[in-house]
Order: sequence, then structure tokens, then C-alpha cells
Amino acid sequence: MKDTTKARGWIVVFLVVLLAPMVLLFVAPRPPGRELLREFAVGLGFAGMSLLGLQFLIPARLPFLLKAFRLPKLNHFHHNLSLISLALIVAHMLLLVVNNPRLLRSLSSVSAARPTWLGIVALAAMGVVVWTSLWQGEVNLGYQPWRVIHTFLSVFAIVLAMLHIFDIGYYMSVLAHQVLWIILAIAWAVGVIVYFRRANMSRAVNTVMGDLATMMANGGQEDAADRAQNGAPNAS
Amino acid sequence: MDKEELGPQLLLALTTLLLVLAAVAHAWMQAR
Repeated sequence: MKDTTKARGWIVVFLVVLLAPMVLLFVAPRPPGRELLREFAVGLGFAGMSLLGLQFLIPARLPFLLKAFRLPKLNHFHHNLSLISLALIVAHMLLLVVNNPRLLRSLSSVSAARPTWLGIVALAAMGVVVWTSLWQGEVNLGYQPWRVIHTFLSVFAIVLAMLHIFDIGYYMSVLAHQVLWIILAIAWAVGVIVYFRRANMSRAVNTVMGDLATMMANGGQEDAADRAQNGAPNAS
Repeated sequence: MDKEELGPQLLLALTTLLLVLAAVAHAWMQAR
């Protein structure tokens, strides 16, 4: 099979996996309808979650993807998708607040609903992941600390986001929903596990403290070749 | 923009469009 045919095939797989969580919204029996804006916000939340899950597979350096696409291309795509994912989830939150401004007032107390807090902390973690990637140089973050923060906060964000969805309990009621959720979670976990193995995260965690010390000693100067080789966001 | 960059950009646009359309379809079906 020609490489371009394989690449096209993977793009089709990408679109199918991308839309799989959205199918959950249409599987009957659907929960009772709510206001239009609120339902649109929920749809955007699922869209953001769908992209967030795929973000674990695209940069995981899966051999078959590396064969069809080059690593810089995959990393660049991962980078752009993350911005779209963040935008969708921010829009999800903003539309919910526009639909029900009382949500904002409830946040001033720690007694706000648990799903709300789970969602906010997940979004904050995503924000830190994106911020440290876009402005890695400006925040003087070395490559290894960036990679450890990036990986652990990403896993933290997606786990909280899933708990946020499960806690609300919509689109979890029937067997078809639950089976689809389990398949999705396994697919995303494969990405994390492969990434961990390929990125040798245990070594990275062990050396991160040493790297931080070095970084502080030399004012944040990093080995550019190391960044470029590993596909750091501001490698060039 | 050269041809190399056009493909990924189109895929990003298609991704966003499909997701937003699915969200709109869901809202339209569910809204009271």
C-alpha cells in the first residue's frame, strides 16, 4: 500500500475516533432536554473531551503513525489540536455561565457542586499545560521539567474531566454508553502507556530535580538539540 | 501557504467543523 493511501486511512480512523464520544450524545434513551444554550455547551464540552482524548494518541510516537506521518508534523498537529480543544472547553464553560449566571456566584463558596469544581480544576490544569508549552522559553522551563509537567498534568486533566462527566451522570445510563466509554478510555490509556514507555518517563522524573538545579544555575539555558530531537514545542 | 501545510490546516478546519456541527445537532435535538 502506498504511504499516501496509508496516511489517508489514518486520517479516516482519526475522524472516526474523534466523533466516537459525540455518538454518546445521540444514543437513546437520551436524558431529558434542557435549554438550547445549555445543551449546545454540553455538546462543546464533549467535543473538547473527544479532542483531549485523542491528544494522548497523536504524540505517543505510535510506530504506525510515525511511518505514515513525520514526527514534527504529528507534534505540530498535536499543538494546533490542543488550542482547538482548549477553545472548545472554554466556550463550554462560558456558555454555561451565560445560560445560568448564578453558576458564577456559586463558585464563591467551596460548597459549589462537585462536578463544577472537577471541571474547573481540569480546565485550569489544561491551561497550565498549554501555557507551559506555548511560553516554555519565557517561563524558563527546562525540557525535562516541561515534559514531566506536560504529561502528568495532561493525565490529571483528563481524569478530572472524565470524573466531571461521570459525576453529572448524563449519557452514562445505558449499557451502550458505558461500553463506549470503556472502549474510549482504553484507547486513550494506550496512548499514555506508549508515551510513557517511549519517553522513558521514570528516568525523566528521576532527573527532573537535577535539571531544575542546572536550569537555575545557568539561567534557563537548555540544550537546543535535546529539545529538537524530542519535539519540544519551541524546539526551533 | 504551501501544499505541505494545507493538508493539516484543512484537517484541523474539518475537525473543528465536525465537532461544532455535532454539538449543534445535539442541542437542536435535545432543546426543550
